[in-house]
Amino acid sequence: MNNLLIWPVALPLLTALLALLWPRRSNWIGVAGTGLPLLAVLLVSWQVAASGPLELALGGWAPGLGIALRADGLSVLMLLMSALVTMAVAVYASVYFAHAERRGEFWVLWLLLITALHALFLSGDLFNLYVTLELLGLTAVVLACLGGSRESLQAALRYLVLGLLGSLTFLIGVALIYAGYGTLDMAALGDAIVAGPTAWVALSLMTGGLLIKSALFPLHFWLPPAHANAPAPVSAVLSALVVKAALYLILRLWLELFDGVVTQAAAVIVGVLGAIAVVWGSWAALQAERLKLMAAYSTVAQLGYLFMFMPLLAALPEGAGRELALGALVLLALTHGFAKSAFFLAAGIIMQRAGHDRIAELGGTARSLPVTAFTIALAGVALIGLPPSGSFLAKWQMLSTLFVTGQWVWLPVIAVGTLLAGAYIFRLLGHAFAPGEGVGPSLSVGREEIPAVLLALIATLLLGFWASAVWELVPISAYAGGGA
Amino acid sequence: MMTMSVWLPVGILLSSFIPGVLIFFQPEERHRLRTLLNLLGALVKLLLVGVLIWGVFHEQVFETRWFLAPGLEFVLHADALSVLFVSLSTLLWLVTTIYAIGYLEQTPHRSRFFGFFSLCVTATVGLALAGNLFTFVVFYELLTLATYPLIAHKGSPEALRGARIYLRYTLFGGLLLMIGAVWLHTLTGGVEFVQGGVLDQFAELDRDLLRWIFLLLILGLGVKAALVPLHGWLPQAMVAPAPVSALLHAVAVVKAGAFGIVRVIYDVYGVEFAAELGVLSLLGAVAAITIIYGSVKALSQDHLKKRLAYSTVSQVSYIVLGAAILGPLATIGGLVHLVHQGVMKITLFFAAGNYAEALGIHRVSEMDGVGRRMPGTSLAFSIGALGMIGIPPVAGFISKWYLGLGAVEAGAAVWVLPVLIASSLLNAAYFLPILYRAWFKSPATPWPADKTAGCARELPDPLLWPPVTTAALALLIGLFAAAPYSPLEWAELIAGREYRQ
Amino acid sequence: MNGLILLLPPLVPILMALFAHRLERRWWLFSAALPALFIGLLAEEGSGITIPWVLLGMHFALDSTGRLFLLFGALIWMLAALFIPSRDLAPGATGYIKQTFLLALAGNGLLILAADMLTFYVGFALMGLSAYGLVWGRSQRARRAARVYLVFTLVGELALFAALLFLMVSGGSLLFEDLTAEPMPAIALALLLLGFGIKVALPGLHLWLPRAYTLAPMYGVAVLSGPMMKAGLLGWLRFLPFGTPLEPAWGNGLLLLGVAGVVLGMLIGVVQRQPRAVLAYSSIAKMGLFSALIGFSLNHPQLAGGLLPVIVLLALHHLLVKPMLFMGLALWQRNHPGFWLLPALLLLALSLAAFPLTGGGAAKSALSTALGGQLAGLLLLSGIAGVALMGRFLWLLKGRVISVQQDPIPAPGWLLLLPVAVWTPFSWQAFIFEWKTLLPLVAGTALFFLGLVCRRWLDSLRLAMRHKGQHLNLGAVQIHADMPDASSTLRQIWLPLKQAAQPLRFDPASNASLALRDPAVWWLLLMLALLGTLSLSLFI
Repeated sequence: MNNLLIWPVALPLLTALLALLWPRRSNWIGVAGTGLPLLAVLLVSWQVAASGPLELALGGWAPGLGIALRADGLSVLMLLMSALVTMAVAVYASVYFAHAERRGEFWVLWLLLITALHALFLSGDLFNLYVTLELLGLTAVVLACLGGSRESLQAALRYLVLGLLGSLTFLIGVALIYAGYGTLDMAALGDAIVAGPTAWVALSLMTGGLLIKSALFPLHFWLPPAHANAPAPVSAVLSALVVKAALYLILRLWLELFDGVVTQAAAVIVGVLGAIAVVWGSWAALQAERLKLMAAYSTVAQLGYLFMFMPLLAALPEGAGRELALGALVLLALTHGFAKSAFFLAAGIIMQRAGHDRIAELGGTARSLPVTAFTIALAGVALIGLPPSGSFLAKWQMLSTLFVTGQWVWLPVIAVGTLLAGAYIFRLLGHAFAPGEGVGPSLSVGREEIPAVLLALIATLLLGFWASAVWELVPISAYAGGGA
Repeated sequence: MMTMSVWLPVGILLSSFIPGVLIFFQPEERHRLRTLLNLLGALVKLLLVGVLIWGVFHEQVFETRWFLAPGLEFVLHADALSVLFVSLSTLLWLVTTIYAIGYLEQTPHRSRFFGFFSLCVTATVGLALAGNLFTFVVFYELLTLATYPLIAHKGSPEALRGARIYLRYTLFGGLLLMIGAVWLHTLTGGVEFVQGGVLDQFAELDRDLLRWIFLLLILGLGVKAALVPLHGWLPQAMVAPAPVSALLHAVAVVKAGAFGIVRVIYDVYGVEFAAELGVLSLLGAVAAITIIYGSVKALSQDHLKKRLAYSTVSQVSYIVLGAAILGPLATIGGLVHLVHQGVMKITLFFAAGNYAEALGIHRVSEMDGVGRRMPGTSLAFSIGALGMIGIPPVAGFISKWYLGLGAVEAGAAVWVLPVLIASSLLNAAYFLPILYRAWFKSPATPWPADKTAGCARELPDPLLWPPVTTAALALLIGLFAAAPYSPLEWAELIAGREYRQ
Repeated sequence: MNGLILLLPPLVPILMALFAHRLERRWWLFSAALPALFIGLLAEEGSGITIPWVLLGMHFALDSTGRLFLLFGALIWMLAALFIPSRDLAPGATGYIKQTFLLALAGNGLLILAADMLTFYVGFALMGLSAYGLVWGRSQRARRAARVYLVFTLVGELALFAALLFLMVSGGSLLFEDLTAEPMPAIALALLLLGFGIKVALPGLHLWLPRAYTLAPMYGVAVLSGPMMKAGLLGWLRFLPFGTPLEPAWGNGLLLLGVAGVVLGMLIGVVQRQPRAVLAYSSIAKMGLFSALIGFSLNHPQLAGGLLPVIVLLALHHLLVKPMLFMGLALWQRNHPGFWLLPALLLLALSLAAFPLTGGGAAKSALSTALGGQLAGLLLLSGIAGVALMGRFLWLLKGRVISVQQDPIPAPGWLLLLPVAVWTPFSWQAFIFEWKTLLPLVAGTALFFLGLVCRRWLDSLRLAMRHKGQHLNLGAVQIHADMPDASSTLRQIWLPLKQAAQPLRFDPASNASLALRDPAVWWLLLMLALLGTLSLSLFI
């Protein structure tokens, strides 16, 4: 049964090969190659939910030597998000790239990206993590410059350099760990690592590298141009998934591997940076003149929230309270993933129809593209953190944790961030609802509009009303004693 | 029976939610189907609410629970207070829907409008049925979301501006409410609405902390209830189409705030405990200031809907005032005004909409002689206005009577009675000139935009009958206040259950 | 007899008001008061009915006082209905005379038959507010008078409302019969005096009256001066705690105010130039007497039992005579008044001046008997006032102004009611002639001539002013020289105040219809503020 774990990784890889060989049919192959892993992921999730964490040692070698795949609650949740988002985006992309010349390249890279993502979420040792991280970064860069414009190339180049820098730093940290403890298997390391200079230096290096990749303030500057200039489907996955991958790793490292090593001070530093990111990102989003740029800045802000959980998590003892906060974090990340991808897809639709995405000229959108406008509104609800979205629940629990731990200082940040998010979302909606002829003639609902609205609905309704699943899955851990 | 008690609250929500969602997907031109859906939903809801009233009266428990997250439950629960608000919303929704169908005929974006309209009512009913503070916050925010497109419906720069201001206020208020709710939630581990309040059971909690939380909650709710100085959005929001204004002022938004304050005082803190904390006197002072301030501002408005808006600011605080005075009589006054103000104010806004629709009248100074031209509408308006002043036997008098009794009973007459009397006089000062113009003056200039020239009736039926119906209702619930199942009787029932000792 | 018929006097006019736009003949309005007449004549005293589900429970009962008020009130209402000009009954008439007339009638019936305070209040409010339409006239000044009337009425109504709240809380019941169970709270007493004091035009609260009486249409003045004004008195009779000892300050205060009313009405009345204004001040003087008597009864519980029925009789007499005088004046101002009219008016005036062998004289002698020789000075004063004012009234009839509108008024109706009015309360045994009753006559005549001289002097003064400042806008002064009351001085204070307050004032468009600009209203507010501080100081 554990062999299941191979499929989410293997299926996209195989179809990528297929797409490479048969570029003319790549649209179909691409969608199928995204859909099949989704099925696999669903199976895996069902298994994990039913019977606890899964582990698979590839090639039969014991963990530590070979490639170990592990699935626990956290990774399953990330996998689910990744599979669902990529599925929706793939459907959208099949329209978006229907007749593009470079669609063959796109689909190969796309499937590789999925492979890397799934592998990353399933990897059980640090070296594999590095490899998948690198693969993820590279495919993301190439995808980001598919648009071919000058700006996108420039942004992608910067993205590449920083991504490489980040993964290199991560690699050094991994090397230090190997030197210090003689193993890279995370389950083993979780018990082995003790507070000391090696651990501190390794943790700082690895975290630093990941922070670059997850674009925490002040290391965020590469993100807005890269995300804003990529083709819409790519922006969607970049913002929704790729940055989350780095975040996922940070969570793994901080909470499970270096549990005893992380000091409150370090967590507070990260939290402060997150807080600044929230305010600054929201403010920049409010100032942004272009839709996609706004979405990208909003990503910076939303990631800030996630990092603000760090000091809260660090302050809580292991147990129900911490799982509550961790669940809230994951829920926020998931909601953001779905909402932001929906948002980018909608932005892509508008951009295709209108030929631009200047917010001030979007009048009439609500009339000619009602479903898309609705999608933006729904996604916006999730981004602000209003009910019934998952982020509302997450923020509720975050505030609750705030009061429990007595860390009042974050309260104004959350408040300001929420209000600013409301401001930029409704500024956009105000323009979209205004009369005008900014967007082309009225058209019926297209195939490309449906994935976006589904994603938005997942973020606002599904994750709102069925969020309890998150808290049920999160405690199922493959590490630190499993299912603490 | 068990299943019904679980499903009834959900059914009441869905009876407007499902039509709302379906309407979104209807093409603009299918107005018959849309009307059918709307009315069907409204009637089904009315039916279900009827069952609910019967059940709650006989002390049946209607409750739906849905586990959302650790410590967070989505609870729909029907008690007497919810029933009061639910029946008000349901009834007025039906009337307003009919009115809106007539009002918006031949205008664009009707599907969108009616969709959000139904969602707005869903949120309001959800607020009423919310069984704990968390659920209340959820619907409170949903209400903000559902009303924003309604206010911005016309899409004109003023409409967008009004909607933006509305949003600024309500998002801010919602945030404060949420912070307060989370805080309380963290301290107590879940705040269910229980008649008589729950907080007095947590003797170990710091009193000052509870006072601060109360302040947060009231600030958050006060935005929607338009307590001074948080009322700024309400006069701006009058740019909305008349049915929206009517619903906004009578049922949905403003009432949601007032209802929330009532909930917090009675079912969270418990009125005796709140009085013990000393927070009620502050709230009472704010309510008093709001009552006077709103009336004084209304006096200087020439724009009819703005005058009505400031009147709402003033009148809704009667409810808050009733809640802030300790004693069952004041409670009855406040609660019954929740219904009475709704019925009367919706009449006034319907009439204002009719004036604008038929004759292009937007200002008080243009209303000379309108009474003879539109007698049905003007009669309805007059009844509503007299009720607002508190002239017997219109419903407003009953509220004022009980508020006054409560104030005297609680020994608060020194400041409450002057406020009530001054407010009545001010109400007279800004409503009676309107009636005077309408009935006793003759039109000096032609109407701004006469659209009904040559028609036999003053207005088409869907526009004329809603205000006439609600005006008759306002008269009847005042005149037969002591009859069984009247709002007054419900308010007495609730007050009896709240002061259980 | 079934108590349900007690509902007819209020209910029938209300139902008729709903269809009033169809009623184009004044006989409809006439017949609206028939149920009241019927009840007043035929219904059993002591019958009552309770309707628990209307308002907060309504209680009706008929007692002897109520029966008399109902009966004689009905007569006046019926007669007044006949005085409504036919153009006000036509379908396109401006104003809402029919509706407001019917509603005021209903309110009047309601309050008379009410057995609980709330029902009384509802009737009082319905009557007072509807009467706005009866005071309302076509001229600018009449509208203004109506506006001032409305403000005063609203204030009175609210004062009554507040009083009811205190009574309800202290007594726990709204029924009149439970009222004496508890000592009345001082604040409620004060509010009652204020609320009804406005209706009966206590000095200081009377400013609405002269203008309303001079400017309102005749049918309006008729019902206003008769049944409606007496409703205020009835309110006192119903609410005030006569049987229980009270702080003497209350009774004395009311007594003093009453005396002031007599004096004020008399002095200002005799210098008026319009017959209607004289009648108006005569009302103030008369109601001053009533107030003083009520105040006296409050302080003398042992006398109250005998005194109150006499007060009722006196009130009934005035209820009939004053409207008859007003309506007679209307007849007099027609083109061809009958030769019989002047003696008839003289008879009425004599009756009002309490001349012996008239109903007024009889009532007065009954009163002095009931008083047992006390308050003789007041009675004398009141007698002088009556004579002087009636003299002035008759004197002014000579300068007959023919009114513009001529309507065929059914004079026979008036004539029919004349003997009733003159000889009410039909207490023949009190028809005694004593020389001392002529004392007021002499003094009153003297005062009347003094008034004539004063009037001349005032006129010359005014002429001089006119000559001096041709360009000055003396309009305000002229109006108020007719009715020299506090308002002209107040106006002088008010104008600069208004200018100072201009920046924060109102939108000019909506301003025009606000009554706040009227000095009388400001005077009222000033009074209220004084009373408010007084009661606050009592509280603290």
